[in-house]
Amino acid sequence: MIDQETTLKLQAYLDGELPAPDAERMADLLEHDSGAQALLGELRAIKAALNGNETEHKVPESREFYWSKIAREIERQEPATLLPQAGRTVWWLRLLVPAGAVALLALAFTVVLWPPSGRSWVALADGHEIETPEEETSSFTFRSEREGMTVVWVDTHRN
Amino acid sequence: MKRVSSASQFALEAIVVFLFCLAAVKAGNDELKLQATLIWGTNGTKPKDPGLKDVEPETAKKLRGVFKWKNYYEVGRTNLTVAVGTGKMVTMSPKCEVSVQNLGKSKVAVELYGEGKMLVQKRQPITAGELLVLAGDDKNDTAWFVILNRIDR
Repeated sequence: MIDQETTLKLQAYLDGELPAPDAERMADLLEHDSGAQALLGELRAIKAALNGNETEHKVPESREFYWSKIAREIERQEPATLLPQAGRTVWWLRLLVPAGAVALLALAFTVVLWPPSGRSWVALADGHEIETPEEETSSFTFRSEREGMTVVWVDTHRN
Repeated sequence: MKRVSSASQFALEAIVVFLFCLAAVKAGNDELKLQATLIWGTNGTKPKDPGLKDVEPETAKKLRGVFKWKNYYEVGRTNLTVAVGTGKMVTMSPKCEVSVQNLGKSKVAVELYGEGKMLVQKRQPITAGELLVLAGDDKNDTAWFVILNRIDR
């Protein structure tokens, strides 16, 4: 039983495409292996049949021009030097994500909620704190620098 | 001998008086003199309630600068002095009470009660010339305001 690798090497040997050391080893194998000899005979018959009956397709242009078209199409479809540019643009994206996270954390620390004993305290800037214990009541605080006034608007949700 | 003992006694009394005055001054620096005012804001005309007074023009101007209502009337006003570490409860109206605690270093904790329920508690420093306003909606598109300010400086 001849394995797949040996079969492929036999085909290459038949086409004269094996390197010299491999061709010598294949020639030694063929002298001693009847299975390899039989397979080689089949491959020769198939090759002869194909050579004799393969329809030739002629292209309207020269061989060089035909293959140059293919080469140009391959080059056109290959992604143009994107990897180095992608590396240059991605670095600031990598910084943007952690910077955004830090900004969000900083915002969270300036207005912090902690619920001791079921109440909600909101710590504002400049030592201001506010608590609205009633669930049906909400409040918000704002500061008017012009009027020198800190306002706590209490909404009892009665409307 | 008699003159020396008189001088010593005088010096001792002077020291005691000095220390007493020093303590009094220090206590005066820690206590807060505040004014709590309940104000009603409306865009309508002034009701026929003899208890309502016009708000001081300066205060009305400040309120108009922040809120939408044009007319502001004082429902009640109370002056209170709160020593550091203590608190006082003030009844502004049958439905409105305010509790003020002196937390020291010019910081207060103000609790607003509506119909016996604490609606909000606010802790903040309070300085002269600044207003702390606790406010909310009232019926018929009016509003109530409790203004707390320092009057000791």
